Parts: sequence; structure tokens; C-alpha cells
Amino acid sequence: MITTPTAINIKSPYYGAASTAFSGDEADLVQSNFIKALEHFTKTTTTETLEQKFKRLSTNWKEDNKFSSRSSLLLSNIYYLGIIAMGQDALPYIFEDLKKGPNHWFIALAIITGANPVSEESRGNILAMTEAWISWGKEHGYTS
Amino acid sequence: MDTLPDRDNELEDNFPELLSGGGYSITSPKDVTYNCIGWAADDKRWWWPDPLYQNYWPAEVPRVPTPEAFIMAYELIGYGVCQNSDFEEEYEKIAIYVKKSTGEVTHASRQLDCSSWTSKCGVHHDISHELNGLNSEAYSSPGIFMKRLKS
Repeated sequence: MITTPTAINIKSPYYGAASTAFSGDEADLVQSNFIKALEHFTKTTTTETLEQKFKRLSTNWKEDNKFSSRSSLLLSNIYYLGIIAMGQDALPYIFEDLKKGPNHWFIALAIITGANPVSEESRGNILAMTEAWISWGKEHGYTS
Repeated sequence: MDTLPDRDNELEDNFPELLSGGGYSITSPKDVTYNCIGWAADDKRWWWPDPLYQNYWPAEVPRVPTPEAFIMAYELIGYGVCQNSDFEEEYEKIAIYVKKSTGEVTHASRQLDCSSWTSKCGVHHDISHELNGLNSEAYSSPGIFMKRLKS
């Protein structure tokens, strides 16, 4: 059983969304990694801008994850979880990255926003999913 | 069309078994839009049973990354579990890799002929390789074989 530090739980509403979507051992792993990411990114003092932080986390995640097809593993990656922990601050950078080309931001977007603009027919069609999320981002003012 | 590289150091570092036996060939550019699970089924979508309903997964199958769920997903497109990886002219075969420590599915490959298989390696290249060429810490090894009649 994972014990959640109260302060961290309060600081991140995304913790609940990231963990309740999973069950059993997978949920424990997601919770454990999410707590590690939050502890790391809330305790570290840094002079990084949000953009610099996003780029660092994004670069590290893409490097770590290049041979994996397992979308579940995104939530085992501390850098990807770090971006989710940035919450809405990360959204403009995620959409900017998506506009440069498709990538697997969909899980992070779904957790941070609580939305899912991907139609059933478009699931798994990465280009269509990218278009759906960019349209959603425009409608909600996160990108132009 | 860009010329494909003969070799890739990152692939070789992560999957050292590729260098044993018959080696491997890179058969596509890097591509983030489809994954091994879809590629094994000759479908260029990103298949995964994520619980947030982003990726493709058959509606009839539980969205959990268990071997049973993957078997059900492939059964829906005509595959049935078979005993081994032996090449059979009239069948298409796939191999599902399962991590022994966790029971999680990590990868899938599709048989090409009597000695080679094709795999999409995450968001990296497609490669052709020997069955055991991708045995590794990341993918573990093939644990389930399925086959369907060639169309």
C-alpha cells in the first residue's frame, strides 16, 4: 500500500487522475512513481524557467522511451510524470511540441485536462489524435 | 525517400542479441505513429489498452495489459494461439513477448519467412531480425505464439 504525503496530494490534483485510471499492481507503480516525481519537482529549487524545465523533462522522457510501445510505461517514467506534475503550466509547451510533429503527449493531456477529444474512430491514429488535441488546445486558448 | 541506415548503434546497444546469428536489417524510417502491437497485425495504428482511451484497442477486449487481453485482441482478427514459432507456409504467425517478472506484454513481432521476423521497435525503426534478436531486459522474450491463415 502506498502512503501519499498529504502536502503532495494537495499540491497536485493530477495525482488522482493519474492513479485512479489504473488498478492493482499497475496503480501502485503509477502512484509510487508519481509521488517520487512530485517530491523531486516540488523540493528541488531551481532557476529554470518553465520552458527550460519542460524541455529538459521532455528530452529525457523521449530518450528513455524510444523503444517502448507500452503506453502504460509513460506513467512509470519520472520525466513524463514531472511534466504531468507541471499541470496546466505544461500545456502551452506540449501543444507547441505537438504542432512540430506528433508524439505521445495524449496520456499527459488527458490527465492534466480531464478531457478526451479523441473520437473512438481516431484512437490509435496518431495523426488524427494530434489534430484532435491541437483543435481542443485552440478552442481552450492553450495554443493559437 | 531517405536512404535507410545499415546499422543503428542505439538499437544494438539496447538489443545486443541482434548482432548474433543472422543479424538484422533496418526496414523503415523512425516513426512515432504506429507500434509493434499494431505492426504485428499489419495495422499501422498505435495499439495499447491504456485506461484513458487514447490509443486503439478493440472495444470487446478489457483495456488491461495482460497476456490474456492481447490474445483476445488478436483472436478478434483471426489469430489463434499455437504451440511454436515453426514456419508454416499457409499461416501468418506472430510472437508476443511477455516479461517473466511481471507477466506484462512488452512487444510483438510478425513472422516473415522461415528465418526472419519483423518488428517495430517503439517509436524507432522497423527491423527484420531473427526471433531471438530482440531478447533483452526491456522486451524479455517471446512467450506466446499465434497464427492465422494467410489471406
